Amino acid sequence: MHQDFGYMEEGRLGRPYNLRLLKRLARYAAPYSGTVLGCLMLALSLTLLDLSLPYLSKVAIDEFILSSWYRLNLSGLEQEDRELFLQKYGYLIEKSGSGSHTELISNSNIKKIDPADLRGYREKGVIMDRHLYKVFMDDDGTDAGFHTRLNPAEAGDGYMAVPVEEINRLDSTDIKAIREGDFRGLALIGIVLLVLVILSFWGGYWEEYLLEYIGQNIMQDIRNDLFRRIQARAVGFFEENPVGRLVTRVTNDIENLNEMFKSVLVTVFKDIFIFAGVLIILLYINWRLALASFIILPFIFVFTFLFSSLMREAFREIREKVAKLNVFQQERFSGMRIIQLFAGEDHQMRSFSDLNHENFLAGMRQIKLFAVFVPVMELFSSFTIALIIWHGGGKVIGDQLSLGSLVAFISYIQMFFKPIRDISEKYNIMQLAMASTERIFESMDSGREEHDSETPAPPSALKGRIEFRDVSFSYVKGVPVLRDISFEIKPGEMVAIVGATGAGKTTIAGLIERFYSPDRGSILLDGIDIRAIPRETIRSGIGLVMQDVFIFSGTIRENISLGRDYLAEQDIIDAVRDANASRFIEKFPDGLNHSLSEGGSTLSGGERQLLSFARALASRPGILILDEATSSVDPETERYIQDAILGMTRTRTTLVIAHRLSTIRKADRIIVMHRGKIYEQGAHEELMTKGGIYYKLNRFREYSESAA
Amino acid sequence: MKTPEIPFTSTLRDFLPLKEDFRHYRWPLSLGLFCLILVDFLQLAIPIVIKRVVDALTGNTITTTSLLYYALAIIAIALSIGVLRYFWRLFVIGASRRIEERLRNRLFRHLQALDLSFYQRTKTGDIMARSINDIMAVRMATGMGLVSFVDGFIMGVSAICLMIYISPFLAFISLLPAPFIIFFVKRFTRRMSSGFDSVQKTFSDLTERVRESFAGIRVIKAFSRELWESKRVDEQGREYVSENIKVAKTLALFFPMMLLFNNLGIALVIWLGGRQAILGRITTGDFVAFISYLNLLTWPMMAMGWVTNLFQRGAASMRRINRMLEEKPGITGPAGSSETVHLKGEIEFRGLTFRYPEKEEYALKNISLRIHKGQTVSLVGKVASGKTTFLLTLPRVLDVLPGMLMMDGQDIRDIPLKDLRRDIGFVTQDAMIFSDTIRNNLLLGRDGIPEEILFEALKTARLYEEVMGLEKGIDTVLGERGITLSGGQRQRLTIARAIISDPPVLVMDDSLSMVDTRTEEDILNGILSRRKERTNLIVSHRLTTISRADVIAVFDRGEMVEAGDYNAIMNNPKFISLYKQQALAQELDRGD
Repeated sequence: MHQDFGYMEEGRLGRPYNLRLLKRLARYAAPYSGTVLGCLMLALSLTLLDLSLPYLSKVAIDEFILSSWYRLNLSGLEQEDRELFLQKYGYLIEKSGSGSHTELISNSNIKKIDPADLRGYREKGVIMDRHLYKVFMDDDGTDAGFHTRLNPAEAGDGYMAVPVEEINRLDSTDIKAIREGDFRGLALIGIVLLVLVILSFWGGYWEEYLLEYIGQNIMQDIRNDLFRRIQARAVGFFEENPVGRLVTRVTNDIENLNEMFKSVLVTVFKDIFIFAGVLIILLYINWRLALASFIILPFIFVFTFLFSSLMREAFREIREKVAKLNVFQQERFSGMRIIQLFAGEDHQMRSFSDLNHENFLAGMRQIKLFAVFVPVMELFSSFTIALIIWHGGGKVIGDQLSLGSLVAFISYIQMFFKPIRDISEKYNIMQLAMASTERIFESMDSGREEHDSETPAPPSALKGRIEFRDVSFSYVKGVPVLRDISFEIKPGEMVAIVGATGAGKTTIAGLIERFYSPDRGSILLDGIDIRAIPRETIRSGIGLVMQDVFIFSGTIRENISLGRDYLAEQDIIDAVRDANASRFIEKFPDGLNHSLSEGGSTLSGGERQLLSFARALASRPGILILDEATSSVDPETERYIQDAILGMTRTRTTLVIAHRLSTIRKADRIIVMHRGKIYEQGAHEELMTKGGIYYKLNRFREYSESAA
Repeated sequence: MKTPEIPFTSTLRDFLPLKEDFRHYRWPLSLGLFCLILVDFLQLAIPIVIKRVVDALTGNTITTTSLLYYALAIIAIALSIGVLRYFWRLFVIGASRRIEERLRNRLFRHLQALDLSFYQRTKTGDIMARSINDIMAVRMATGMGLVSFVDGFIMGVSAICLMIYISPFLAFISLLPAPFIIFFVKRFTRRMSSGFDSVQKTFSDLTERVRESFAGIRVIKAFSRELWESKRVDEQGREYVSENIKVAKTLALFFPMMLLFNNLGIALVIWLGGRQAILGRITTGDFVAFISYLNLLTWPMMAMGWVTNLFQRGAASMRRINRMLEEKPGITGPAGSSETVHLKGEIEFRGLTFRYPEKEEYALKNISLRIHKGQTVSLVGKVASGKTTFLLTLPRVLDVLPGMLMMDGQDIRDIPLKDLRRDIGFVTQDAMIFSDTIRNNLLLGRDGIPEEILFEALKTARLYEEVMGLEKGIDTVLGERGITLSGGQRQRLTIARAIISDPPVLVMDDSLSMVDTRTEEDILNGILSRRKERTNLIVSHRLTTISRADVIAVFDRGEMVEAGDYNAIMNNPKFISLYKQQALAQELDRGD
């Protein structure tokens, strides 16, 4: 029972699964090898149980239901022949007692006599054709009273041999009394069966349970591994890859592996066990007939091989069509507004139904392939049965094979074909899982992970000197975002960067944090090139307030501490106070423990900003980078934000990407950026005297302020 | 989502919308099912042939020639089974594929008719899940589900009949566990569905946690919190694992339990049936046949559980699809009249008031404005002041009450939707590009527009040179499998898209924000000089754009606080205060 986990997301596909992928997967299974081994042992024992069930009914028939004896008349043989017989088959005979020349041989033992000999003995009258039944007498020589009604053919020590027809003539009370031993035998088989059945139930349960346990744990390990690797990528990776696709990789793709672990791997082993088990049993029963019935095997293998390539192709095509359909739908649903605005519904419907029909045709192709494959496999199995009936039946007529063996052959050959048939069903699951595996491993391997310099500078607290030396940077080759930027911020200084959207201001913050590396030039912190400083040191030494505040689901406290264990309660309380955030946090009855829902939608934009201030301040960083949010907030919160900014920039080196006039005025220095270049820089007064764009800007502002 | 126990009839009711499709494919379906039933009977015939061979061999009344006949009979039966199997697969499973195709088309057509409010409250992922997973579940129910149901039913009933024929007593004995099975399956499915629900829930929690980690990657990196976050993901993953294992504890019972019931039957038959054989009430051959029929029953019993599951999941999916199909398109054209209307471009808002459903505050409050043909109107105002909402009422993406919005003196609700939207060129804020060629992205299915016009529009949007610079020019594929455009290029492309039809009304909603000032000016000059006779509504934050409008409408918190020409507006203190914050950036941008 397979569950849906979101919709399937597609990429290119179609390579057949290969050993390399499986090997890599197996590495994840290594920690659970004990449990896996246990599972395989369970599967093996369950197979043995499965194989033994038909045998038990065979025993029930031969030993108990049809139990009867034949009389041997060895005195009719020459001394020499008699000795030969006794030597060869003596162990089969039940001696009736000393001195007697009549002996009995049981129904099941007689089949052990070589068919050729048997015919000869029968013809010579050594073995009588009459079926007899042994009726035991009580110890004191009496019985329940029916011996008077019987006409014994033979009497031995404590029993008499009665023809079966005689017994069958009796009423059921008598039969019950006479054949009590057989009834007991049947009951015993019933009990053995019951025990086996219960064992198989428990075994089956534990097998399934352990499989799930192993599969889930392996998946969890792969998931964690994949997550950590993706997380370690540089920030640029997350800009190039849509979050949705990355999430699908970590969740849905790994989910697809589950089916493989659960239903495929172990059933494959089980199938192999059954296959091998039946093979051995058949060869044991009659190797000639077994080999004859294996004639069909090469055809099966060739046929399966040919078909699997066709099916792979059909499968690949389906996946491709589904992928196309999905991409199309995804885009139309998220861009439905455009379609409706341009009244393009009819056209889209036509394109969609074309794609949908292609998908249908691909599906039909697969159905047709299966409609040929499955019946042909069945046909092979029936051919084999026909062969066994014809060839094996001939052997029975020729007394070379017992009837029971023929019946056993037929039922075992049906067991034999089931695994082969199932392979095709498992094929699809396997393909799907392999496609996912490939994508998972590809995601693990591709993309640069952030890594620190081999010879890092010794970690030390940042003093706060920031220097850019001729830094150039571009996100996309040929589209420079920063062009030869040079500036310096001294410890304790507050510098404001102003400029239009797209001037490259936020990029500067990202470069200092080592989210990206400059194309040219170098950035120095406290006089050391940041490439030599471990990222951890830089990032925990700098408090970064981003433009759009990201809220994690969790409490306000968690959102401020972000799991930094080294923060004391007092640090958080201080940070909240310095960030002017106490006012809104106190509004919640549970204060810092207030739980924020997805994305913090219960907080206003201003409150989120205050929260992000507290987050940045909590570790008392020496450097603060503040990317002011542009979204407008209500006047009251605006005042709180302004106060908080003034407070927190007072004591530390601050680089602020400014939008508020109050912030800009307060800065020691202002860097005016435009299109990736520094246009002018200096203190407010300097820039005003200079009469550049900053001056013009301010004139406009004064004009508008006086007009307001 | 809790799935309480659903009676079979209501499960059927969920599939009712497919009635027409089933009727449509009734012939292939019934033919296929007929083939399936034949296959079942033929399958029951093979053991009979084998039994005859065995009986004949026992009685020593057989020759090698007659053995060959028996073998050939088996091959003949197998061949007919093979042919019939091919046909039922083709017909029944094929029909389920056809029904799937029809349902998906129907759903897509319906979704296209739904208005903005639906797309605002429904995540794209949810719609995708309906169209992919749920439709697949329906296909499974109508295909393999139906097949297994019929197959299991026929096989089950035939096997039981044959068993009763052999020995009513044994049949009764061996079917004793049946009530327990039914009880067990019922309880089991109920427990499973609640188990699956909680698995599903923890899975979406996990997905959300992972999504959050990637979406907030900058914060995590900026604070070096990678370890913390991977621990959080690990914890959530463990929760998911433990839910799965909880379910597995129940699920692992299912198949062994079914097998147990079946094998218990066999144990009973060997014990009691063996006695019967000894007592001569049945023959040994009967005993053997009985056991093989009992074995045949295993599949129908398992199928019962499987089919129940397939049907229930199909029904649950169908319910979700039905909910979507039942969504009424909120905005429809006027009933009846089908006469094509051509807009001139006279627009009049009469006390336009609008409120988003489920919101308390009005997004637009009593706005009256008359726009004449050939006028250019510039809309200014802060973020969330109502400009976009205002513009979206024009093509009736958002619907207003009767009498609030007139076009050429006619109530907008009386104009066929198609004509209305054809005659309004709308450039949205987010530049939506489809994974298709540039040409198709421009045309969006509008026929009869010559290539020169496309080139002309690209030139006006200042994109022509760039497009021509591409190897395949206008036929270059964009998006997922093609090239990626920058934000500015996308915006310019959407502008070209809107102007190719030379619509009587052009709406540009802040659609040049990612284009630099000079290019923006060029584009606007080009558009406005081409469209002197036509009506234009433009939202922009740039003063250059604002200054060239005939009418400037100032929005503030859903109200139009001012409307007039540039000079009148520039003296308005409210307008100036609105622009105080933006002034800095704009002035900087103009500075070079």
